[in-house]
Amino acid sequence: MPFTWTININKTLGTKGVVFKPNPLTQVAPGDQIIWANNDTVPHWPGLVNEDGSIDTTFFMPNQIAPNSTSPTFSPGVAATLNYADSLNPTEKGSIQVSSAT
Amino acid sequence: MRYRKVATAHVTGAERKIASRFSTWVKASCAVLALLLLALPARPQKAAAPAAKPAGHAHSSAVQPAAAQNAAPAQNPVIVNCPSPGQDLITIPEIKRSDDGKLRAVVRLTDGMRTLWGSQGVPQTGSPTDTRCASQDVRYFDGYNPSDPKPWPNGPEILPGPTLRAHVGDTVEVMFLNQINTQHFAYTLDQGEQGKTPGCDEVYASSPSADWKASTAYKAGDRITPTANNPGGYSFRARQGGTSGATEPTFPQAQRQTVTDGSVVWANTGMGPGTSSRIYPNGGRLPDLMPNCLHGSSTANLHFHGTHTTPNTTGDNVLLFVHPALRVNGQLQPSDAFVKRNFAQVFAACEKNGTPTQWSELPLAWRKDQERLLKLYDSTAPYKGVAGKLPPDMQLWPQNASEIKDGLWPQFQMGAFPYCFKVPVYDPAKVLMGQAPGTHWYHAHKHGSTALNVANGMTGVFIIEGKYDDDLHKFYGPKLREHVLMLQQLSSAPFPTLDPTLSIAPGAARPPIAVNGRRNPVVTMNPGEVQLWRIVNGAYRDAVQFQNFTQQGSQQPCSNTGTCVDWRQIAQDGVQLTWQNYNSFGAIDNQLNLAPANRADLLVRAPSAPGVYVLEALANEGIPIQDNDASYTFPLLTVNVVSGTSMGMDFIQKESDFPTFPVFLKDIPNDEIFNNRQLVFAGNHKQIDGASFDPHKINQAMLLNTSEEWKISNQATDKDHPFHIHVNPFQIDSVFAPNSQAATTPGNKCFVDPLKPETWALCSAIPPPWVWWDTFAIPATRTDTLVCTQGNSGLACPNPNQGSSCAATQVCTVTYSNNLTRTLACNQQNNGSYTCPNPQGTTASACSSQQACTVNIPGYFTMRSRFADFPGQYVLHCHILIHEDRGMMQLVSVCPNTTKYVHQ
Repeated sequence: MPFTWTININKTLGTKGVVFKPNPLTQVAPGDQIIWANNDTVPHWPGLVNEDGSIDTTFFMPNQIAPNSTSPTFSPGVAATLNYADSLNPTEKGSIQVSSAT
Repeated sequence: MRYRKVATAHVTGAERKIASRFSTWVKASCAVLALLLLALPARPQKAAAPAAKPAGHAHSSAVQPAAAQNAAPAQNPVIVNCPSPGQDLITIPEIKRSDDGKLRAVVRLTDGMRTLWGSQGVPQTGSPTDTRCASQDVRYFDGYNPSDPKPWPNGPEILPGPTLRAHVGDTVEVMFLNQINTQHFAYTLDQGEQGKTPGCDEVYASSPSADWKASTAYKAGDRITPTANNPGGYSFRARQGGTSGATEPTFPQAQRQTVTDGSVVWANTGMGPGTSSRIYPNGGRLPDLMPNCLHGSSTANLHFHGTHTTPNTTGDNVLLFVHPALRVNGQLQPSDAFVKRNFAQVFAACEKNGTPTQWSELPLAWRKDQERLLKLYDSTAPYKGVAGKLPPDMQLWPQNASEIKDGLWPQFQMGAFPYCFKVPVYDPAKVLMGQAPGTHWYHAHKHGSTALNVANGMTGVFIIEGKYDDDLHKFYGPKLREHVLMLQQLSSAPFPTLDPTLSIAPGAARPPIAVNGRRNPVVTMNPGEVQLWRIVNGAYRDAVQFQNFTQQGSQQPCSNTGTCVDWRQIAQDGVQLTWQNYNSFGAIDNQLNLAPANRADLLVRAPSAPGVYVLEALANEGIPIQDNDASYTFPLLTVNVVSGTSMGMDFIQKESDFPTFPVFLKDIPNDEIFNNRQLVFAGNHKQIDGASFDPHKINQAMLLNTSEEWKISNQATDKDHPFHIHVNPFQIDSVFAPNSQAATTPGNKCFVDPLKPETWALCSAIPPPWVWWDTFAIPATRTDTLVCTQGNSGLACPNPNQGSSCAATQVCTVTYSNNLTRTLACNQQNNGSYTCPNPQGTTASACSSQQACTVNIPGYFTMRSRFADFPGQYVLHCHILIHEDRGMMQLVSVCPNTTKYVHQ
């Protein structure tokens, strides 16, 4: 059955930024489940980076992730490379590689 | 919204004694019970044995501050090589009773990295098999005998919890510890502490973008998949909205390149993400709402299948919520030592006085510490990311305090719970029924998380020995070897998607079935040996039919040829068969279908020559198969008959050698039926009698020590809902299966004619004596499509719907790769046109408008049960556990039948 993956949003020591870990997230297959865990003290909101660099804010989740909270589950239904960025701080980026499991 | 019990509706109670010669007093209300206890002999307190060193994986537990933490430094899955099939069957560690008539066990709920398989594809649907395996953090049981602690196996397999082995008459003392490290499980809380939702898990999913359409309005941001001129299979996003052209453009094949199509500008998205939407909880007419929705909580409890005991206090009480122990400065609270010290007192009192009836009977130190921990949880659990901000109605202690104030047993427990009850010997002076000796089981039963609990492997076998075992060993002697087989459907996430139209089609793909943590394990037998197999179907959703053995390498069944492995069933759901049923139900190689929660004891006989034999099984959701994504065959296990001299054992052939049937399980006669009821399990998989589970409402109230007959029917056309009721077993005395071969074969005397409602009934009764069950799959509804005909007064449906007018119905037929067809609803689009869904692996037809009439013929069974010996509140539900979690459950209450009041 699907496997459950967590992307931690960790504060970067000495800066105001965060790092997504693991990044990139690989070995994910369609139907798996992905959760972002916000271990920071401020909200974050991963959104899909479109091909023109704009951010589809609500692609993965409808709201920002509160501090010390986790996102809803996102389940990719198709093989894809999902580039994402924090809608609240677009310089913070990550990606998920989804490929067929069969 | 808060999942909150109405305090006054809760019942405390106890194991009780029926004998009216003792003075009892009982308030007239079903809500308050005060009952005598089964007298248990006092015994000296035994020194506590040292704790077993916790086995499994050491996780960092430096968690600050105290209490539940949402931030989750969870370990990600590690893709690993799949375990090779053909490994030996693992023997589940067992905890045996002591000679003084006590089963003392520690069952711990913990977590660690264990290996899981990807999805099992279902060939009929074309759904793919996910060939990956991963080591994934899951919650599971381990345990040990406190008198003889041994480390729990630390292999990659998810084993069931320890097999408990008691004897009829024993006192069962289970120290249940919940020591899950909640930091390892993101987004798995009880009440929506994050404040985002009312507590249901939420799943968003992407799916392939819709196909490009000509002359269609698109807005900026819309995504499409070209139907032609797109060799790379990319998806495209409208960088500029507008109306598409009359013909499909040539789509550029590099990311970010654009093409103009009418007034729309499409940009190549690269490896397309598809479009995204929330798939759970989904809205619609009957949305999933707390507490009837899937939520992956780390809270648990224990439900004991088949034990004849109280549903109250420290018995088979599934109204409990045992939260994970808190972690303060890296230390568990309550600590093992503190639990052990206090529970020793609880168990000593229970041995002496019987199951406690009042919370105040527990040690003061324990009660005070539970209050402290609940308050600590309430004051430190984060809400919307901020610790200590839980709204009052989400706090645990106020609810407990209210329940305790009303004299009730409090529901919320922190870290540990002392299960203590007696499995009674039949004694007509004390009990109407005794404990049936047999193969029972236990599993976690946190409503909303039960499917996840059981999918994670929170199950265990509970064997209660008695005369049944004595008689078997009398016949076979010490050479009768036994295997305990727990069938499991293991997954860290049992409910990825509930929308079968999505391309990932999880309705079809599902976890494979393992036996004691391994797929297709090998059982070794000697030539001519007979073994006793105690089998529990602990799968959270699939039934498993035992079809036949084949010789390895052959597709042909070799059953009952004298050169094959054969079986005979001798017990069902922990109750042995009668001699008569052993000769019919238990005939040689009779195919048995174990719905989720069903058990079977089999005598399994090896041929006299060596060989390798495979037990072929069919995973299903009801037989006959209703839905073509519902079944697949697979090798359940392999028997390796080694070389050597034949042991010359055989099945029991004479009635005098067969185990004596318990007298208290004689058939329930007609004149004992005090009341009749009808229950209807819904086609939506979420309701019983038209309503979802309501924690504040008692749906069925029965009078203690009466018998009833219930007719339980099933409106679902695709699944046989497995009906399960706690505490008391029941006898099936009739089954109406309108989809059976006999019922669907014209000319058969049992043919059910859709045009003749008088045939929609039982064809023949089940002859007594009747088999006892605690779970029985309700036959599904049969749907017949009748042709709408033109009459004198216009279009009309034929009998039995004569007079109703026909409606124009849009019907789609999809054809799967093996030419199976299936009818799906046609979807009307915003522009008024109709399209057919196109599940993966199918070719879709165009929609056609046709006149159709549908007749539904529900399947049903009737059962008889004695609500004997134990008053209190408990539940009945569907044992496809996702259905239970989504609301297919009812509260029942067995009310006292005596009162203390006098008349003078």
